[in-house]
Amino acid sequence: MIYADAFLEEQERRYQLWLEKAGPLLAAAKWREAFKDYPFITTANPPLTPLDKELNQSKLALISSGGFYIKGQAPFDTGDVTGDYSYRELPKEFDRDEVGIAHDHYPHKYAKEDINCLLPVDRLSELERQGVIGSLASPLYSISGYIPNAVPFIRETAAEIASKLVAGQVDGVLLVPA
Amino acid sequence: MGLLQNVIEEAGIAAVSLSSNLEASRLVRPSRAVLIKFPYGSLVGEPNNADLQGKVVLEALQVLKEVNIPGQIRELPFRWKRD
Repeated sequence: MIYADAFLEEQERRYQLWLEKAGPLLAAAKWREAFKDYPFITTANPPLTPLDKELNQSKLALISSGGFYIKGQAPFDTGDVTGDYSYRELPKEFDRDEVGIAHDHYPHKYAKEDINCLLPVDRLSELERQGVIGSLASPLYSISGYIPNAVPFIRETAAEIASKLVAGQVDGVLLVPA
Repeated sequence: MGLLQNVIEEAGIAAVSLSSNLEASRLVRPSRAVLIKFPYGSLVGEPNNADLQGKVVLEALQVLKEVNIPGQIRELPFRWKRD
């Protein structure tokens, strides 16, 4: 496994050590100083799965870390300085007026004007209609891009989203960070 | 984002991500990435510029299909024109 248990336990230990020092800086919104020595989870050998179908035969999923949620869903918790590692599922057809953004670490002006800046659902739907891609999968997945506490994100959120994509027979995924 | 991407790859699904932060991408090493020098909050392109957004999405999908060397980062030449 790329992020095996023993590896993640060591990462968790490094993260807690970092948080002891960085916690007060995060609380004071001194982001640059806090993240200066953040223990990124790195890998020398990323896994890679070839897309074995042509694009026009492929079912593609879209994931954004813009912190989007729709009416009826709880917003991401922006008050927690360790981040909110949960996720939301958005139907691929949704009312644009019912979308909220809960993410304090990027300017919202572009996505508020046009959600495709971070969640290019209209562009992928056009490619589906034109036959360039097979189909756009529903739901779309939304996470918060601010997740310093990354180990539970990997163990729970990433594992759950990946297994849902497998169950949904998705062939390929486009990820758009905020 | 790169962490989620690598978990998805390991589950047997091809993935590609956009990035505007080369330093972070080199650390996390997602399976395939497309580097774009657009502002945070608008990595797909300028608001209401469907033509540019479409080109970015299509380029990313070409990388998804064509790139089979793990950790490759392809830089896109697009420029941000709006203030």
